[in-house]
Amino acid sequence: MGGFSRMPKALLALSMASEVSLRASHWCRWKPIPILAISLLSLNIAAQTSGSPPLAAHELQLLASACTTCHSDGGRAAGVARRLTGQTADQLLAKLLAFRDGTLPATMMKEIAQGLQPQEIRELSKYFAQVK
Amino acid sequence: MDRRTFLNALALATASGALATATRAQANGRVVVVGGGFAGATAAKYLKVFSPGLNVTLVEPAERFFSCPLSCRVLLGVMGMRELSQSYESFSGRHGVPWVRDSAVGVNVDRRELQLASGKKLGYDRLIVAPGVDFDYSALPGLQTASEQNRMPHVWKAGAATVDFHRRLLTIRDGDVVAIHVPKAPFRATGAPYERACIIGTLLQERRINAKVLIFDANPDIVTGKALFAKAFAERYKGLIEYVPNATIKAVSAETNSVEFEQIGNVRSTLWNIIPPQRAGAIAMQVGATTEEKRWCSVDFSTYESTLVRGIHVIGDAISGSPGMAKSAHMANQEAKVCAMAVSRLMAGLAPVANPVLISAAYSFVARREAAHFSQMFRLDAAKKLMVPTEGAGSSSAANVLEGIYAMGWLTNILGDTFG
Repeated sequence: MGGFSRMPKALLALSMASEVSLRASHWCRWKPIPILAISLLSLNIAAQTSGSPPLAAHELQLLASACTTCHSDGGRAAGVARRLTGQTADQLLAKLLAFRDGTLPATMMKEIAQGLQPQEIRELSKYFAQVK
Repeated sequence: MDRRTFLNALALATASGALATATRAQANGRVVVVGGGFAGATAAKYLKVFSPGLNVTLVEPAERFFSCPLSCRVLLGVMGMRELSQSYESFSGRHGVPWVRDSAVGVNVDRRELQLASGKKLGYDRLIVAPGVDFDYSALPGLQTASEQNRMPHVWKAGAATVDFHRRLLTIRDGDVVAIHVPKAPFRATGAPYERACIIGTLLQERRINAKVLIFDANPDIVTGKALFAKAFAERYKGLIEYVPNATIKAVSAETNSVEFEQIGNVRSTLWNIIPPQRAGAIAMQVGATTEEKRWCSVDFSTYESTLVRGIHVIGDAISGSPGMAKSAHMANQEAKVCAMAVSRLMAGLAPVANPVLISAAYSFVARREAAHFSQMFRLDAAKKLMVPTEGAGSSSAANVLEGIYAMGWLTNILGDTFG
């Protein structure tokens, strides 16, 4: 699929304009987050979930496939749903946790992140960090 | 994005040896998938992703797939059906899934053989049935012949009918009335009738035509997105869209363009969009998988195997979901993956995933650019044999342009995940 290449021209123009503000409001604020903060977050969730048994490989693969309906092509995604690939497990984990507690603004991801269990969030983060 | 890179990526993602073995279960054997919609195509593709050794065949009579989601943009005239379409020939080549262009008409359960309309037979070890919905005109006297149904079309399967209805909408003039009949739930895409009313409202407003849109709903209230749509009807479409609940059809006259309702009486309209009551696609009944007065199929939510017929799995709109589960494209795609993983595991002599999760998104446009989302997330409660909603899922507080853009991106991605 070619991202926006199939969109009508008017909508394409509209989306280009909004993409800028979208990036500014939703994502740029992420860049300054210090690595230390991310590590602390991940330590925190690691501590929370140390009791849960890990997901078996096929369980994790199935769960990850639930994400790719929106973040298509194995997590590489076209268009506006973010790529899940090309990030470290810590970066993904920090984003999912921030969606969950509302500190990272989102439309649907807050709702989805709240429905995932901490163990699942941690393992999905590792999973997509490995997809090239 | 070619398929090889996708599969390589999945293999890389499961980098450790043990992981790779477990994931690519050593399954072989024959799986036949009936129906190439969001459910069937996803199942066929993901069977090959999870178990490349399986022989998977897709049975689908149409040459091309047309997406119902976002087809409201074709009604509005800002998108063509081609943009919502996929070719089965390309799909088949991309995923190594032979495509049999035929219709399934029955099954011999003992011999595990699917019967096709052409008279041919296809053997299977497991059968996945994804027939979508059929329309039940039995409760709509006066809408029995194809020509009567065409005069008051449902436009509830995307394709030529969508384009035709857009053309008919362009003939609406001052003083005319467009009326939509919403059937009793459950039916496919429960938010879509109200979205359609908004889209027609937008078309009329933009063309400065002083006509009305009437919604006659067989249900006691707006089935999905009540807050969103009630606000749109009351504000943006004030005096244009009128909503009438508890409207049960008694009789229809295609000749005079009128419908007689219990309580309300006789209503004439310039253009009718009558969405009939729905049930599982015919093949589900023919294979003996329908329960609930032969309307929908009850399944085991860890495998989607029919509770009535062993070896036959049912996915998508045709199933009898747990309370609250949408009959949507996204839900169909998610059920298909759970089913594909289960079939792949079962055929390798392994246990399916015990507590699968379903995540579903749907978007509704309320105007040319503004949309809102509805999310759903369910987890299997094995003891209750029910999919139970998780915390968190919900919907937008109001429609906006950003989510209109997201809706378009969602379509690109779900088509990519299902067919690409």
